[in-house]
Order: sequence, then structure tokens, then C-alpha cells
Amino acid sequence: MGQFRDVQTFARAANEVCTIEELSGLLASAVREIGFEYYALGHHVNVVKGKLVQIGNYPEAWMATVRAREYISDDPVLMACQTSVAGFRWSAVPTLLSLSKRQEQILLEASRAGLGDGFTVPVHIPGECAGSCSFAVRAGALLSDAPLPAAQYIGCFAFEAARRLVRSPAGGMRARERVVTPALTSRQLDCVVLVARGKSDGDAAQLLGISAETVHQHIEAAKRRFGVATRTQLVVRTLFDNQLAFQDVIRR
Amino acid sequence: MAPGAFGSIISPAKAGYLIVVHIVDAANRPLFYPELDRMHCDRARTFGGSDRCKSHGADVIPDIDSFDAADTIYLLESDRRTRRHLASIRLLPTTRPHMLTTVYAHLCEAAVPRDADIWEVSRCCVSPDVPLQDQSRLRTQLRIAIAEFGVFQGIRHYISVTPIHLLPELMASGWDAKPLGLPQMIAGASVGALLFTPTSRALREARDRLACQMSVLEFSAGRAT
Repeated sequence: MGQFRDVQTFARAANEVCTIEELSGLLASAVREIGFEYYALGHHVNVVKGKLVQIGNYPEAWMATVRAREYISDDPVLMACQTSVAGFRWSAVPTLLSLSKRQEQILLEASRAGLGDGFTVPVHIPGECAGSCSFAVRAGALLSDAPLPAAQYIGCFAFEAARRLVRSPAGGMRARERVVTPALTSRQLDCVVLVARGKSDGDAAQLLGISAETVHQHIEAAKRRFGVATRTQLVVRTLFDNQLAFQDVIRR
Repeated sequence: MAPGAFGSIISPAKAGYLIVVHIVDAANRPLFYPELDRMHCDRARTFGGSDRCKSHGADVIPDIDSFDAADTIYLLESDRRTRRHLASIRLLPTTRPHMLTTVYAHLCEAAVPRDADIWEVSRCCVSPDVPLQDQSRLRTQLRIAIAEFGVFQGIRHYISVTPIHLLPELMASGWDAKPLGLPQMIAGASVGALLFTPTSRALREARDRLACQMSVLEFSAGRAT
């Protein structure tokens, strides 16, 4: 009951925080309550501006190393989030992706800098940058399974609170700037899938049983809806907005 | 490949890309027998054992449990032309037997909330035949339909056993969530019992996502509720 009460308390408080700094402090206390020392919450991007967030209390020396050596783009934990929708222990990362030498080095250096075992909750929201909330114990400390269920909920509620703050008017995004994802028609999506698979308008026309000119018009209409100039940008936007999945494009 | 064979199974509607969501209940159930049969098969392929999931259509043992009664309410999306089931969810009032109390009570730390204005959402299913690029849209439409049904029926909260990895997306869509207990591993997935409250933001954001400002629910003739 104790950890569930911690989760309830956190969820209520997270819903009411008014600033990222408040959320940061709340999260630092909550992770200690359930048995962790460190946390890092954020979108998986290098450039932080506007609607994105990155907060945490990892050891400063480690964060300086991450910045100096540009480890973010190779961080094995963040990369593992791309292959898992479920929360995972860091010890399971080698089972989720095959580690490069640089990634093995990153894990080793993180441990030397004081970060022990950890648990990460990936956050995948269609139409938005991927993100995560990670929790870690001190190097050398044992991470049991006991706090993981509570960590899953705290990660989810903390991420939603951060989203709410950075998307609120005070957080830099006015209501009128709300992003509305353009909707493509089913036929437009069919055409975009084939473009993404490298098909010409003629090939797509044959596969869909329509004329090449109609395929062209569908693609042009889709480009207009997204406000993009090229077919490459169109494919990237539809993948990013989750209107297409990589499985639609890449056949294994 | 035959011309058109690649095309989506969802026919693009003339007036946009919206599939209406039907409310199926005791009164109009006979109008939806083909869709409901396909729904139970799709549910078997989605929730059933791996062997059953490999089968298609009539080879599948339909997924029907004690909560699928003659008067159970479903929100159902179907292809009007082929009568094919595309996506659906089941709605059960918590004043009557429902899954969280009967099957998953161990997911709740305290008593399961039960009231006339609290309903359970279960068996959310998108047909495995629906192309991946269409699945997200159908789920979003179902979420709009659930919120609209709540407004229509005076439902304030929904309870549900939810895979935890879907929670960020649900909250981002404007559904306030309150956990009823800690998540547990069931059938290889981390799931939790949650109480959801649809907000006006939920409807607005879901509709923004689909560029649709009208109701997705279709009120068929002959419906009881």
C-alpha cells in the first residue's frame, strides 16, 4: 500500500505543479521515496526549445561528460526506447539492441560517474517526439523489482505534467498556436506508402489501379496539407506524425 | 497484384475520412450480426492464444465471454459496404458484473469504484486486417466516441484495465487518469487498473487530430438507449 500511496500523492501533486522547477523538485523527492536516487525526464532530442523538456538530477560530472562527448545521440538507454514500448531495466538494454563499442563505453563511464542500475519508462505519443523517464540507483546499490511498478506510474504522470507545462501559454505555447496534425485521406496514405517504398508514380498507379496523374495529385494534395515542398519531407512528416508506421514502409 | 488490391480496406468517404461509430445495444443488435461475428473473431486474433491468432476468419474460435450478453453495449466501427468489423470496444455499467470486479479485482488496492455514472471499457480491438496506417485513426475515433457516449449517457468516469505503455498517449489526449492500484504483469504486459475522466480537452484534441469537428457517433434507428 505504501508505494501505491506514493504514486497517488505524486499523481495529484504533478497535476497541480505550475513550473518545471516545481515538477523537478517533486520528482526528485518521489524517486527517493520509492528507492531511487536519480532521474532524467525528457524528449529525445539534442535541441531543446519551445515545447520540449529535459530535466533531471544525474550527477553533474556525468552530464558534463555527456555534453562534451555528445553522448546523447548514442545513448544506449535512449536508443533502447525506440525498440520497446514497455518499461525496461538498464541491465536488459543489451537484449534490446546490439551495443556498439561506443555504447559499451557510455555505460561503463556512467557507472564510474556514479550512476548504478536503472529503469526507463519510454513515452511514445503519436505526433510528438519520443521521450522517456529514467530512474537510477547509485553505482554499487542493488535495484530490486519492488519499486518498478510505482516507477512506471510516476514516469507516466511526470511526463504528462511536463508536457502540460511546456505546452501551456505560460510555457511558451499560446492556445492559437496549438498544433493540429493534418489528416490525410486513406488514398493519400496509400500513395505515400508507395512513395516511401521508392515506387514511381507509374508503379504506384499500377498497384493501386488508378492513373499516374491521380497518384501525382494525391501526393501533391498530401504535401499541401502538411505544408511541405518535397516528397522526402512528406514521408518524414507522415512517419513522425504516426500516420504511417515504419513497418508499413520497411518489409522484413 | 490485382488493381486496387493494395488499397486500404477502409473506403475513403466522400465527405472526408471519417468512419462513423455505431452504438450497438439490445434493440439494434440484429442489424449488426455480421459485424459482431467478425468482431468476436478479430478479438480472438487480438486477445487469444498465439495458435488461434494465426488463423483467419471462420477458423478462429470467437472470443466471447460472460460479459458479452444480449444487452451489452458496443461502440463499433465498420466498413458499410462489406459489413466488415474494423474496430470496437465494449461498455459495461459498473452497477452490473464487469471485468475489473470479477476478473481483475487484484489490480485494485481499494474497492473497485462502482456507480451509475461509472462504466467499464474493455476489449478494445482494432481488426488485425486494418493496415497499420489506419489503426491509429480508428483508435482515435473510438476515443472520441467513448467521450461522446459519456456526454450522451451522463457517464462521468470510465474504468479500464490498461496496458501501461498506452497511458502517456491517453493522458496526452486529455483523459485525466487516476490509478486504482499498482501495475502488474499479465500475459507478458504491464497493465494497471485506472479510472479515466474524459475532459473537453480530450474531445477537442482528438477531433483536432482527425481534423473533424462533428460527432462520430451514429444514432441508429431502433436503439434503446
